[in-house]
Amino acid sequence: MNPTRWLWIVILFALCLSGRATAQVSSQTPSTGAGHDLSSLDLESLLNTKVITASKFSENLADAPGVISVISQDELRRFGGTTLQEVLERVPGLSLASAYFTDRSLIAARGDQTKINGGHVLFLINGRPTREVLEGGLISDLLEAFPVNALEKIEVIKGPGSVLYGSNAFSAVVNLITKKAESNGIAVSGLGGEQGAKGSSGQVMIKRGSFSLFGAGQFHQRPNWTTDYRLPVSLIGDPVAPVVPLVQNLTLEDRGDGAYLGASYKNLAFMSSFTEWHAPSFVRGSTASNKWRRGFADLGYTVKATNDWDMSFNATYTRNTFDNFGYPSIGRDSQELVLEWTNGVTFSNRDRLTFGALFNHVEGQETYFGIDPPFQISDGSRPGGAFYAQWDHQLVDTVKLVGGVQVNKIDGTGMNVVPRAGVVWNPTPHVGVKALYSGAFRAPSINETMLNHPGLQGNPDLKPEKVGTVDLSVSYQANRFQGALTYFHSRQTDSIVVDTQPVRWRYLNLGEATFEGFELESKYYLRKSFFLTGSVSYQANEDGNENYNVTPVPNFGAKAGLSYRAENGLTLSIFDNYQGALNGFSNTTVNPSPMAYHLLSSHFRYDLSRYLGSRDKGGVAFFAHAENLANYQVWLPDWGNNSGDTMPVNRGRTVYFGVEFSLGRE
Amino acid sequence: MTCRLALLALAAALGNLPAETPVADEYQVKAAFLFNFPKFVEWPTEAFKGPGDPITICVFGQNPFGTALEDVVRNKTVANRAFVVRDVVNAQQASKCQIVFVAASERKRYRPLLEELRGRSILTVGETDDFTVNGGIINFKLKDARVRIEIDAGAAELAKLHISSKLLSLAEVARK
Repeated sequence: MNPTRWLWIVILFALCLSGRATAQVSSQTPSTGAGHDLSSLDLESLLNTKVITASKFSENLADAPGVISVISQDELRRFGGTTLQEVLERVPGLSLASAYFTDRSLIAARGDQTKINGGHVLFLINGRPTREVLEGGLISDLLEAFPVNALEKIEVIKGPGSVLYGSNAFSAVVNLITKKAESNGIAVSGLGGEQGAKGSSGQVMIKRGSFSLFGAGQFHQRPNWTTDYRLPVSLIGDPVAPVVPLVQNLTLEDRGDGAYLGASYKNLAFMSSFTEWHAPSFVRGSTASNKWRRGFADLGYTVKATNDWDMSFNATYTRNTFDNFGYPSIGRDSQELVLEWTNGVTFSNRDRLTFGALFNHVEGQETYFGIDPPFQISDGSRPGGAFYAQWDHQLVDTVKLVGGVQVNKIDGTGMNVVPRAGVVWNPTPHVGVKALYSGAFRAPSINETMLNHPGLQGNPDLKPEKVGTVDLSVSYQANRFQGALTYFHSRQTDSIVVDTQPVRWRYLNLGEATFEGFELESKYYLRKSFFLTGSVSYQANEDGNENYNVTPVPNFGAKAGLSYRAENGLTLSIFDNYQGALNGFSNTTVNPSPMAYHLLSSHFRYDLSRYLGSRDKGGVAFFAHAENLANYQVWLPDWGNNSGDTMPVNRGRTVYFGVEFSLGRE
Repeated sequence: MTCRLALLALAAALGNLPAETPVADEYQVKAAFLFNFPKFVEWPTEAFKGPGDPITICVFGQNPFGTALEDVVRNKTVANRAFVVRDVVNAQQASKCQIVFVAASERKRYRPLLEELRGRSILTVGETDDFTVNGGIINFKLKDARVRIEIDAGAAELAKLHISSKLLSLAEVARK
């Protein structure tokens, strides 16, 4: 399918539905302006004044029972970003990562990249989970193709979250919160850059009575990166892999498209997304093209059982495919269905209970196309179920206790229990002190339990891998400033690893690892137009055999951003993400060594609408976005290949120029 | 390509639409409401120490107004009373105010405050869904990107506050 087709399907679909609604596009609006004296308005005028909701610190992070970082709509607009990966790299404690084959785009939380996929980070779309279940957590398509223009904000809950969110909420939960239609509007944009870089995006909002619809789509292609890739020394003469030249001159592809559609009518809500990404892999020195695809849909119904009891019913479906064109020539198809009943009950001024139950069903197949006829090396399905509850109790005005548990049963394994407990102390309304303990699990994937590959077999007796994390955090939040210092200590047990001792390798619950570190983060609105943000994070880790720094994630990271966003339509922002040296990894590689790097980005946008007299009903904006201005070519360990060498991850400086047309106002 | 041009043409054509409704920051509007309320609310004499005493507007929780609230009341008077804006952190401090605005940051903590203030002649104003259900007098709601006000006349009566019919007619009636 033409890569931009999804974008246009969403827009045209929405336009068809809108009918005359779009023609009535917001009749809003002379802005009163920041300096306008509203005290002169009477009550009727005030009631008729349309409001722009400020996004600064709308959440009280000091009192949330978790360690949460939020990327607000204001920050998304200020710093821009072409992919979700680029946006998430700005979050304290999250780091760029990559693996050699099936999950090339990763984001590691607090140094945890023990897997060769994103199975330790759970993605939610508006609170609903989307998981890949065959390998156990591929996320590349989301990171590279989810439409960034669909996002209202992003909540990153660091640490385990399985009590409420289930499997894979291991080291972080990333909740993608999309925009909702508040009025009618449409926007389209296009961008281009050197060496084939291009992109387009669009969004549409329709609001008519109780019905609202929001759709967004995005296509993005990075510039061609032509580079030499040298066969790692340890892989020369590999009897299993195809023979390849010692030096290959490659042109690396990187393009993705995605779309999101959300609609609601009264208590009923539906949302759906599609993401597809194309990128190369580096398996045993052999490169190949790959395509990741994901379809996600959720149907939800909320009802107020009583004044104090809210409940919702959701059916959530995710389907993932992965196709590898080249060595080792495989195709995958898997899906998960979750049926969930969620409740929130306020018992008194001081007590709130969240509880729910779910049923899920996973299934998937993997086919090997390396011989004719192709044959299935994995084919399985299994049901599962869970019950969970979390109690928030306000002990006194300044102290809240939190306790929770999830009990789940995965077909073929025993009962599994994960707990959560914590105390949140707010000595003043601005200060929060938290001490939390949380557990989480990742259910064994279909491949880990049922794979039937000649060289590697699944193990149906696998237990979920587990983690327990202690977080100690102090935060301060005022009107213009927000800051937090967090210490964490995580211990992973029953890690699912490949046992390479037998001739035919096998998955086992063998591994364990410990992670420890801190995050210091702050945001400050110097004035409404000037925004500063910065963070410093450190993590150290070791496995059960006392090997230190076992994951391909730097110990030290520092991030800082400065932004000016004025009422006259001008936005100028710069952000630097510094990742320190990778300790514990070889610097003697035939390909470029994994070095410390800066990912410096800038975002410029100028909205010309005010000159066109159309500022509040849309208009035209020009923008320029630069990634990796300092031009670091980033090569990271080819995680999963075990070659001791590196693979290409970031090509260096990329500059895009674009224009956006809009009608109506968000 | 034809399709894309058609969309852009449609967007351009729809751009020429009338513009009437004013737009402002949410908390500028809420600040203006807080300034306006004393024009429509009558406090008992004992709510003030003296005839020249200012109307004290207090903010409980994280102040979301920035300088908007101070700006809107600066050098203004209502019934010959000037205004003072204060941040408060507990019921004892709040009990010295005529208007207490409970910020959204306190949505999980404000109920004990309302219990402490119950029966006192203090106009409590909130911005959380269940504010009037829990004893608050006026609640701000956002609907269709506009600020709406909800009033619990019973709670106002309990606080010995007289709310004018004009304000009541423009507000939604709180349902418990």
